[in-house]
Amino acid sequence: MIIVTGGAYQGKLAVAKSLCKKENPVIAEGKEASLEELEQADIIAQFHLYIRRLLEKGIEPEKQVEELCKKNPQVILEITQLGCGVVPMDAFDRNYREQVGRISCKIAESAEAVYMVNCGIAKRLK
Amino acid sequence: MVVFITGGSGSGKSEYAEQRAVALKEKEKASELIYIATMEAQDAESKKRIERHRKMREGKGFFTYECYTHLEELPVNKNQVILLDCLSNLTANEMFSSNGRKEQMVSAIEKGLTHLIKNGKNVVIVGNNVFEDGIEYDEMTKTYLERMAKIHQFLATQADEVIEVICGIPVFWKGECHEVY
Repeated sequence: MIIVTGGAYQGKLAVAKSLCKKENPVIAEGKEASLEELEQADIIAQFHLYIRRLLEKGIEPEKQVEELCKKNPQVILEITQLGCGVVPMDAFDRNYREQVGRISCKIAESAEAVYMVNCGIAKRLK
Repeated sequence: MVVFITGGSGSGKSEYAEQRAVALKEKEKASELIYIATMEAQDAESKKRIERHRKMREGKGFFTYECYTHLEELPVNKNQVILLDCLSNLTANEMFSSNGRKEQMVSAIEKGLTHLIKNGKNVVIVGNNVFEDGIEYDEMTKTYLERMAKIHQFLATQADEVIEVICGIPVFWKGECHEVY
């Protein structure tokens, strides 16, 4: 598994595509793709929105993500950095932001590579 | 030499940019040090901020040009080292002020930056990392962020060095000391 993270609009998906060995990678959107699509995708775009979706449904995201990573161990996850701002006023937003951070740390532990993207440039952190 | 410097609020990016511009003047034996100021003094807070930056530049030999929009019309030459601080102001001015190019602002600023790089030769440009707070903004702010990110990426392709300043420490993304994977 590979994680591509960084701020909003920094070109993370383009980096994810360039890291994928396939010419036409299958990209699933974290916001709306079905579980089956997520399990078969080469790249999951906006993975933080998948975590958000689970939280909105009242599902514990950590186990779900763990399960997904087991079923799709070669996937490239594109995750936006959400943590470098002021603590949100809203309890749901606070929890969402923290969960995305914690889950990112967890999956980064077992990831083969982690990249940070800034201004369209990728830096390998792991 | 084109140096693009970014970083968060209060990261020390302006101070680092000034150091680089001063060092570049020595190295390139340039005759002039030009500072392009982009913030219009509209209220007490912006006046205070401008005053802080002016004090910081004092005695370093900068000549200041004020440029809120239409960067491409600024007279520059190859004997200068130019410091532009910063892109987020310029982007906001081009997007929201009455003289701004509104919908055409991305290409207008790219044209302005190309003008500096081509005709000014030694340029230090300061951006602003406003992309990592995870906040879902209103449409107008989202558009602003998206356009600014586009300009950042354009500049990163043109720059010899891309540096993010964190706690006053330069972290290289491109150029010297940078590892590409």
